[in-house]
Amino acid sequence: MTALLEIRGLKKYYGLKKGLFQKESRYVHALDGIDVDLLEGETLSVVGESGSGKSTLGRTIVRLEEPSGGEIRYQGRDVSSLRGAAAQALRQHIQMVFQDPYASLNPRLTVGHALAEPMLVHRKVAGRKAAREAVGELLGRVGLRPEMASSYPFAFSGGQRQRIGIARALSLKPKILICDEAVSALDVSVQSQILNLFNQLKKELDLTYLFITHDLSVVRYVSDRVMVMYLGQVVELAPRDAFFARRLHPYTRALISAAPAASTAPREARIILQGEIPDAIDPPSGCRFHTRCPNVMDACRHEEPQLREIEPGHHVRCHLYGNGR
Amino acid sequence: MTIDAPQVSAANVTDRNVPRNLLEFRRYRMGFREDEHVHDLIDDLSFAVREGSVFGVVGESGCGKSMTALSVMRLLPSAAVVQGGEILFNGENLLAKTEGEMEKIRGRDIAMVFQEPMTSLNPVHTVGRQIGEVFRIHRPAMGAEERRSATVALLRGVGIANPEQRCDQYSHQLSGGMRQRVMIAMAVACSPQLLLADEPTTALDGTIQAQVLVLMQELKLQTRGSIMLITHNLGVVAETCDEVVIMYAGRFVERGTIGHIFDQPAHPYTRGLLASIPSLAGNVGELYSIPGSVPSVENFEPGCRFAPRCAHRREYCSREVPPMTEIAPGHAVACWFTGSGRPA
Repeated sequence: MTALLEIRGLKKYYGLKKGLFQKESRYVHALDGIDVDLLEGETLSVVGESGSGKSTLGRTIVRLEEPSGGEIRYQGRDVSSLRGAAAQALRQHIQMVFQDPYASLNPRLTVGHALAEPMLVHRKVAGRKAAREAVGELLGRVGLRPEMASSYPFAFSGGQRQRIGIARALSLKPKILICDEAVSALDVSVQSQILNLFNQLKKELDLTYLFITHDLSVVRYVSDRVMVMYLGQVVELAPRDAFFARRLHPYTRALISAAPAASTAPREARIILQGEIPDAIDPPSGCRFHTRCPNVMDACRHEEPQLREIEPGHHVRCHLYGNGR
Repeated sequence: MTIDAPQVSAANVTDRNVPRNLLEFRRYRMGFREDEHVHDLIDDLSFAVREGSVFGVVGESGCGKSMTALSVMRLLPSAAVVQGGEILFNGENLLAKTEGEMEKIRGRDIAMVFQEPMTSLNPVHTVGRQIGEVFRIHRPAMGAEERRSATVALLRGVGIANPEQRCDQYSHQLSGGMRQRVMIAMAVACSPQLLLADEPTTALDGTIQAQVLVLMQELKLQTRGSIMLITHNLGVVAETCDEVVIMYAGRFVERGTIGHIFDQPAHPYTRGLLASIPSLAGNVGELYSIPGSVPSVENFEPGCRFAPRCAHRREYCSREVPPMTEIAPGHAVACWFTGSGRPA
C-alpha cells in the first residue's frame, strides 16, 4: 500500500504568555516529533488519554492548527505550509468528523443547507437544484431520509446528528476522513450503528481513516493499525492483531488492562498506574512515561528512548527493547 | 409471580442474616411539566437497595437514571413533578420530609458524587474549605483545628498525595482525577449510609477511571454503607455492582444479580445492549445494533416502551404494559415475550 499521508517530525507547541508584555517563554509540547505514514485504504487508530496530543494531531493535519515544525506530505507533496486557496483546495481531500454532534452543527441552518454549503463553496455542484439532489443522495448514504434535509438540527437525536456530521464530511468526496472521538458521545446502542456505518462507508467509498479515540474496544473493531500516544509522542505503533496480542510498551499494557469488561468472565490482573499524566509544559526527562512506569529502570530517567521497529511493522519507544541508538 | 412492589419492607425484617433494605422505591412516578401538560418519565418504579450492597442503575441518556438519583436527594429540576409513590430511607418516606429535614439528611446520611468534578466544585474556595463545610453543617461541635485534621485525613484516605498542601489549593490547580477524589472525600466525610454516584468515572481517562473504581471498592469495604451507582457503562457495572437494574425510557426492564444480567440476560433490550458493546475479546465482525433510537418523553408508547425497536414485538406489546415478573429468584424482567407470557 502506498502512503497517502506522510508525517515527518511533526511538532506543535503552544506558547504560554507569562504577563501582558512578556515574551512567550514556556511551551506546551502538544506534539513532539511525530513520524507516521497513513496508508491508502487503511484505518489507523490513534489512542491516548487527555493531553496525549491525539486531537492536536488530527487538527494539525486538517490545518485547523498551524504546525510548529516538521512536514505533512499528502500524495508526496508537502502541504504543511500551504496558504489561502491552495490550503482550501487541500481540505476537499481531508475532512474531519467531530466528537460532539450537538455542538458541531449550526442550529440556525437546515440540514440541507449545512450539507449543501461546502459543495457550493468548492463548486462541486452547479446550482441549487443539483445541490438538492446531491444532499438527498448524501443523506441516503448515511442512512437518513432525503426529506430530512428541510429539518433543523434540534429535531434530530444524537445518533442522527452524528450521521449528518458524517454526511457533511463526505460531501466533498474526500480521500481521508479524520474522526476525532466520533462515537464517544453516543449511547451504546447508537454507537454500534455508527461504527458499522463507518466500516460500510469505507468499503463503498474507498476511504482512509485516521480514527482518534480513547476507547480501546472501539479500536479493535475499526482499525488496521493502532498507534498509542503519550505526552505528544508515539510510544507504540503496530498492526491491530499484533498490537493487542503483544502489547510491548508498559503504557499500552496498562491502558488495555484498565478497560472494564462487560462480562462476568474472570479478567486478567489489572495494572493500576501510580499518579497522573504529567504536565506537557515540562515533560519528564528521559522517557516521558518513567514517572508512572511499573518497569522503570535507571536509564529511563535520563535517556530518552527512540521509536524503533522491533518486529516487522511493530514500533515501540521503550528501553526494555534496547536503548534505541 | 407478578410483583408490583418489593415484598419485604424495612420494618418487618427480623432475620439478622438478611441485610435490611436501606432505600426502597415504592411505585414511584414522576414527569416533566411542559406548558399545561405533564409528560410521564419515570413510571411505577419499585426496587430496594440492601444495606452494604452496591446497586447499579444502567441506561442510556434520557432513560431517567439521573432523575432517579436526584429524586432521592430531592434535588429535581423545577419543571419536574412527582406524581406518586414513596421513597423510603430507613423506613421513612423522603417525599414527606420538609426541606429543613432534607438538609440534615443530605451530606450526612445520603451523599452524592456527580459526573463533572469541575463544575461541582466551587472555584473560589479552597478544596479544604469545601470539605470542611460538610463538617461545619453536620458536626457543628467540631473546632477549626479538628476540622482541618479530619479534612487532611479524608484527602489522604482517597489517595491524594501531600494532602496538607492540596487542602489549601483551588479546584483549577487539581487534575480531573484529583477533583473526583475530592468530590468523593466530600461525599464520604460524614460516613453516609448511602452514597449516590452518578457517572462518577465517565469524565475520567481510562487509567484514572481504574484508580477511582479501586478507591470506591475500598471505601465500600471500610464504611459498610450502600452505594447506588448510576452509569451507562456496563463494564463498570460488571466490575463493581452486586445487583443491577436496566432502565429504558423511565421504566425498569430487568433486574438481577451481575450473573443474571451478564450471563442470562432476559429482556430483548438488555440482550441488544450487551451485544452492541465492542469488546476486547471475541470476534471482530459486524457489531450488533438495536434498530432505531431511544424515544423522547413525548413519544412514549402506552404499552412496552421498547416495543417499537423490539424484534419480538406482538401487537399487544404497544398497548399493554408488561409487569415486572420474577423468572428466577432475584431475577425479574418486564417483557411479554420473555417474562410473563401474553396479557390476559
